[in-house]
Amino acid sequence: MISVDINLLFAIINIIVLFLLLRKFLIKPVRNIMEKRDEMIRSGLENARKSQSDAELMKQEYEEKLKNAGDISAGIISDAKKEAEARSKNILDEANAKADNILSSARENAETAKIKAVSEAKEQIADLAAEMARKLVTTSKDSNFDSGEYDRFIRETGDDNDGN
Amino acid sequence: MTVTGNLAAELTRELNTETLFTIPVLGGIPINESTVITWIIMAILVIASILLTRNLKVENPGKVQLLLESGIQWVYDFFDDIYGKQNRGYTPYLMTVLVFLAFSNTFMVLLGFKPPTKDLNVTVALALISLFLIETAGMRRKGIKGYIKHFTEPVAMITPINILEIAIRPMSLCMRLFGNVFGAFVVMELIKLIAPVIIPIPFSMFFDIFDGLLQAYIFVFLTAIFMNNEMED
Repeated sequence: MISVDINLLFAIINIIVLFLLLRKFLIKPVRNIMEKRDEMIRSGLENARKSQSDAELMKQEYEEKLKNAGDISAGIISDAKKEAEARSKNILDEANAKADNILSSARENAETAKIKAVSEAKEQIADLAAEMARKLVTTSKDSNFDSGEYDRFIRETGDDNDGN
Repeated sequence: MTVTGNLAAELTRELNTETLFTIPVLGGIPINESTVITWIIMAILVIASILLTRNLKVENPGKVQLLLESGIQWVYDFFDDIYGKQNRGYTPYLMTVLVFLAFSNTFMVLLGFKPPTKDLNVTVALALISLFLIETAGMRRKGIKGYIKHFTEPVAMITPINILEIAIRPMSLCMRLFGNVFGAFVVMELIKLIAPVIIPIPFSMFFDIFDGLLQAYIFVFLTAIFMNNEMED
């Protein structure tokens, strides 16, 4: 009943064999799976952390770029304003100059027309004087040249000249 | 008289470790019942392991796998708490002993087999392996010199007691296990002989399931604690 025999050796062998078998078929596969899962979770966390920091970096970059873009656009706008101002000033100047030109040429024209009119009038006055002199000569034979006759003449010639 | 005589005869028959058969070499090697039952347990455990670990998945594990993993994790945590993570290499063996003892003390008994731990050969074998593990754990940690020196600590006077401890610790392990299983078996056989219907059920719950699991737990727990004692500085 309480005795130890050769079966002790068998028991030891059995236990060691059972240990080797269970280690191979039960413990190692399960531990491997658990370690793999641990590894997966760890790498997943690592990846998440990495991509987060990447995103942070990108965000910073974009913000910087955005800021730069604001500066650049402000520069472009101010350049455009300056150019527009310069151009409008040019245009104004040109327009002023043209207007001055037109004014001065108009003045010149008016001047020449005036001169022409004056010279024409002078000519006509000269003609008139000549006519008057001729009439005086022809009528003085009667020697009753009166002022009524003179007024009539002036009116006639004036009417003729009104057609101009 | 005849009733008690029959009872005694029945009891001794049940308590004997029978030699099932003899291998006819070297003048006949007797093979005990416990050895054969151990083979059956080994076969069941290995087949169950293969079936349970067939479809292990890293992602979306099934319920069976989760149960298996949490069980194994529990055992690892349990031994980690005793001797630390750095000595995890000993855990698979202790887990094997735990599973083997729990299975043979409870399940095999409920199936109607005699528990193999009722045979002193098996418990002595387990204790010898524990002895080997305890002492080698100490030697590996401290080196041969440190291992020999630790017998004189804390004072040289108790060196004989320390040396005796080498034998006492596995002896206590083996006798505790054997005594509990054997005692439970005797009590259960007596109850079954006297009142074979219904009455044995609550007793079986206690002696076979509770005590069986408790003894399995205590055996590996104490082995781990002794190992830790040897490894401590």
